[in-house]
Amino acid sequence: MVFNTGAALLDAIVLAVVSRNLEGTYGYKITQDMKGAIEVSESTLYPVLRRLLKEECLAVYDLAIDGRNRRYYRITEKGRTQLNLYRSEWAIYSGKISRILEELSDEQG
Amino acid sequence: MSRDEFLRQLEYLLSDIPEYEREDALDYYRDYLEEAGEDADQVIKEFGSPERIASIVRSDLAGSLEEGGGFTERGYEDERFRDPNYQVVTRLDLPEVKEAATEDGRDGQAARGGEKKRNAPFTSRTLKVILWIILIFMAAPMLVGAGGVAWGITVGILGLLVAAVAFLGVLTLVLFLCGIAMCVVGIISMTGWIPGGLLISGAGVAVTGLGIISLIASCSFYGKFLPWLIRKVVDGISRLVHGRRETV
Repeated sequence: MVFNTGAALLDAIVLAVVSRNLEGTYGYKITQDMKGAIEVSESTLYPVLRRLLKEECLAVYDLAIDGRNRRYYRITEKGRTQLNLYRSEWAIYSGKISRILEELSDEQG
Repeated sequence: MSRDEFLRQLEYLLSDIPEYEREDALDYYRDYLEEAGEDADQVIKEFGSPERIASIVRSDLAGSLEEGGGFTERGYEDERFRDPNYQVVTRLDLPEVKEAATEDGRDGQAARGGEKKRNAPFTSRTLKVILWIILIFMAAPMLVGAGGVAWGITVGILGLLVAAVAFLGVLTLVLFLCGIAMCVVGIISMTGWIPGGLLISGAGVAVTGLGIISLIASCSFYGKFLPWLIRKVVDGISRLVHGRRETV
């Protein structure tokens, strides 16, 4: 991936990954799921999760697994609204970019 | 680096941030490594170092992470946290949150950063004088007991000094008294034997003259030399009491 993307796209990807699991998911798994789409380092997620929690796009709850607490993240109503906004924005943005790149390649070809 | 070692160092590096923030970060990374299971070593390697993770947590607290980060082909990166440059990252001012539980010993390290105010050394002139007096009183029996001879010599010297100081005054007084007495005696004697009376009263006048010279001498002695001497002695004692800062 040669394109740099800012925090908004990262937020969108995390929200999308979390929203796929209705009962929520946990930190390590979020990173591994994100790796399916983009390259992301293991230390990336913590600040992003904190930011999304602060904006109340995500909520946490603890679940006892194997005798200890695992912290689960699930998407909130606000987070879902935000994700829909990202989705429509991304559709417009990526559509425009794709069109202009394809037109150029058409001219070349 | 093992998982426990990593978490231990991270806890130490974050010891000066508010406790709930520290616990939040530690819980998260403990959980994360727990979930990683077999891959924990690989994850720790990718973390870079505890210092790097601590730096990210701090910047996040300061609310400045959004500005520096970027998403690149190598994943999300923040120029400021790229090894080994994170060390020179300027300490962002953390929000001034005072913890209520500072005394429970857990935050002992938080106070390490030279934040303890150093009290100025307590000093008091009156206290010093009182202490000196107490010291002298306490030491006096020892001086009398063990150093009776020294005490005696000291008293002797003091007596000599007093005598020397008094000598000129006494001499003047004696000369005046003698001179006047001899004059009186001479005048009375003149009624009987005139040359003898004249001699005695002449000597009396001479002695009185000496008395006047002595009076002039003692005026300058008691008026100038003695005050100067006392001033010097008092200065010396006060220097001794107040330390040596006044020595020139």
